[in-house]
Amino acid sequence: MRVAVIGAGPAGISASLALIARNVHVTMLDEQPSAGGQIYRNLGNVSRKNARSLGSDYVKGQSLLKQLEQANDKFFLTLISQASVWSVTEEKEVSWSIDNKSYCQKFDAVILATGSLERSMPLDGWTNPGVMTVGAAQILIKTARYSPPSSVLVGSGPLFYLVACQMLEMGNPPKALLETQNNSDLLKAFIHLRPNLTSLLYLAKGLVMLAKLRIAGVKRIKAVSDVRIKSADKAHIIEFSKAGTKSQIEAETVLLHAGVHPNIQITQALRLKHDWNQENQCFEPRTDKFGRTSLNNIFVAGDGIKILGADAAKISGKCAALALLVDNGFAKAKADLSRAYRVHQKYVQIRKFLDVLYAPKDWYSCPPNNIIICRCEEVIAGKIREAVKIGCLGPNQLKAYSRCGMGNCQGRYCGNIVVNLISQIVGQTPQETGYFRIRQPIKPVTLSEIANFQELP
Amino acid sequence: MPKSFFYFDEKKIYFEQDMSVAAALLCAGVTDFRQTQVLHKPRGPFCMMGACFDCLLVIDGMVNQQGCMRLAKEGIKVKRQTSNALSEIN
Repeated sequence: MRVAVIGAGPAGISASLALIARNVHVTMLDEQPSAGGQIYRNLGNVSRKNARSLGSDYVKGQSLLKQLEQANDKFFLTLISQASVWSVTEEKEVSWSIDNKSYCQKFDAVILATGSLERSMPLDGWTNPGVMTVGAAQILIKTARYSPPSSVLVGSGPLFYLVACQMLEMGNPPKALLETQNNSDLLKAFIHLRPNLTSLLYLAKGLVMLAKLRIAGVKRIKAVSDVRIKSADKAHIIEFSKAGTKSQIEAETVLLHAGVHPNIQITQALRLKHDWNQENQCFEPRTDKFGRTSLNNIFVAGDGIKILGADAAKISGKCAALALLVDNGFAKAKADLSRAYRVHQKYVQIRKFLDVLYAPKDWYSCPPNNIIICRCEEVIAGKIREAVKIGCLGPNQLKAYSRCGMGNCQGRYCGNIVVNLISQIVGQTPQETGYFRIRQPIKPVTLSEIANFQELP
Repeated sequence: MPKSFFYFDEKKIYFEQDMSVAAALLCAGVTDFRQTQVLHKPRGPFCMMGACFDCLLVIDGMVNQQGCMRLAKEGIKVKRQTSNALSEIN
């Protein structure tokens, strides 16, 4: 039996390890130059000292990477890096591109561990050069030891504060944090806090981060809204409202973060059922509790199902692998599966607290008419509203009306916003509205690439 | 050892190991990577992880190359991608 694992983050790695431990052949396909996913990005290449400066949650990945490295020397694992998977079919045929050359292979099973994307926060100026996501800044820190200068962070969420602290460790503290959540969010969230060890440790980690920022004197402005970025050359002026008063702040770099949601590109292209998560304002692929989909021998693992973070993703990957084994006659894996699932449940409890505390603000999904929603085709919210008013029935017809979602990113950054906008105007639920029909290839490849599939190495 | 570099248009961009083309450019203070297709506005990297396609560049004559997904290499020729880059090349 040969299994393709797509994505080499914590979910993908632990899924692969569980499979090769039972002598199953695994081919891991990962888009980045080295394994680890975004959470452990470049961890195998940075010095111990530099890794430690980015925090214990980053260093923790070393044991997983080490196990993968040891396994990579053996017969059962093939790790293919810098491979952009552009097609996965129901028949488990996987196509990928490396350096503008494509390859295709048929597998017996596929585990999708493609992680998450940062939620869009469409606002005036969010497409200007020098305005990036907080995650992008973290990737720069991890891969280039470069912390963008004179940064202002806008948004909220666990990653938001983590990256602010990492910038601090780099000796380049953010100029200010413009935080979108307010004190009433905190009160609402506290009801959901469960006094178990995992949750309390998580909470303590957050408090330590906030204390570090306070000691360093990083300015935190809470409950901001109506954010606009005016850019000229390399300087940005960020205008915002707080309690009805308008203020502004200058920055060289603006970093946005509104939490993350599952990357559903492949699960959508496979026509799997997805469910709208109202709290997280996103679609999630429908799976059973172990990651089985409605398609035989196709599984999803980690944040690609539901955002629970790296520790949960690691166990979710193991669950998917064990469920795959059980389905294919390895009855012995059954006991391991129920054990792994019990561990996984520990990480679910803190999520409700975080989801409520950092819930996406309503204004993210109902931007004014002049704001660009589709970054690729530069379609503004007004154009989408207008299309719906003259009879556009849903996201797919919207493509024909406006080209929204038809650019290179194929709806990754406008999809959930579009679903929300249409639902608001038509007066139906996002579940009823549905998502863009995502088609293979899910990454742009040239026709000549498809016409010239390469021999497998 | 001399530092490695590549050319971005006429400008020398120095880089270190494990840096992507986009990271090297950002470190050198370049944020404007391309001109957008519809409104012809400047655009630069947004997600840095291969998802947003905002960091598209012309690399060694190939258009629409994701700067954040290509490791920087000595001697590559990188160009800012203009709105009509496709028609210029074909």
